[in-house]
Amino acid sequence: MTVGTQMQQAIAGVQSASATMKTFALETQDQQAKKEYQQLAQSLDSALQTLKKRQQFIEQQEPQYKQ
Amino acid sequence: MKEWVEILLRTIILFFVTLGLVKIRGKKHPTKMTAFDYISYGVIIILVTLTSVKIIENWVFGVIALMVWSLFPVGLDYLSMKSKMLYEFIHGKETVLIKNGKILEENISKLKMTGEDLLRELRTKNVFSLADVEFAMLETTGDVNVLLKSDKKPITAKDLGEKVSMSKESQTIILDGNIIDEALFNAGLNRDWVGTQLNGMGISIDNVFIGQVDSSGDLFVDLFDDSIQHPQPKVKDLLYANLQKVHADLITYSLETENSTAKEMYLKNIKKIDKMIKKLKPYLIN
Repeated sequence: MTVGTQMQQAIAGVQSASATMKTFALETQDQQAKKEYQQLAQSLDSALQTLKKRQQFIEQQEPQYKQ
Repeated sequence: MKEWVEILLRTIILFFVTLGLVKIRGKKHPTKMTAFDYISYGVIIILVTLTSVKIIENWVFGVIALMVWSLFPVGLDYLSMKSKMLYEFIHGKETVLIKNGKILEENISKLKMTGEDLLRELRTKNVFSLADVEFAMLETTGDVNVLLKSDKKPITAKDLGEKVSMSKESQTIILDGNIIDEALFNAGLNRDWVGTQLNGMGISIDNVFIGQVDSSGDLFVDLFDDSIQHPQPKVKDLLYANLQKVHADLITYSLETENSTAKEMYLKNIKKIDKMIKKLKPYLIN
């Protein structure tokens, strides 16, 4: 497994987690939990942004990682 | 006739006459009136008062003056609709106070306005720094309207390059527990739909104070009983989150599979979902 694929996997994982948090935040009736889920989703989103930037950088450096 | 009966009669009749005359004058709001409008209303007020308490002895004189003062402005309004010159003569012309970010001192001194007056008027428009103003105009009603410099203007979706869905006004379909059929019809819905929606939320119609439908068909309700927790429409956000989740899942599957045809199929569908998310984003997130 190349670094590029691993990166993609990580991105997909974070995206999935963020989407799950958003769903939880929307579905829960508990205000406290809702807030926490939203915060989690936000930090996951920012992690996602960082990872995507990193992926772009890697692909620039090592074009063979691009599928 | 006894004095008090006459005053009573005059007052009652003038009450209704004035009511009618004000209706004829139209819908102008008092704060949007020009100086001349104020004067004409003021004269009408004085005339009505004086006539009704018999300070103007002959009621015919009072009514004649009243008619002239209330009907002439209507005539003038009508004429000024036809002629711009006459309009400017009666209502005055708006004055530019600030142009290209610079105060026009001559115009301000012509209006007998001081710098402090100008700053106060700007502050009422939430502008505390003169440096933010590109253009300001004194309207004929005495209001100052301000155009901010383009980098100080509130940001819009267009500035961000975001597409947003066109949202139309919400229709109020429930008020005080009663369904308003006309609004319901305008929204293209019927009573059955309302029933289903309320059933889904577990609310009875008698408990709803206000219910509004937005352009995407979500029903928002406010209940009389504020202690009841009821779900507000979140369908669109939920759908968006789910789409994102599907997208991420497909990427994981495509990375994990060993089968090349399956991989291709996943990749194709990832692209499809990606396109779908991009297309739906303005509608789902608002």
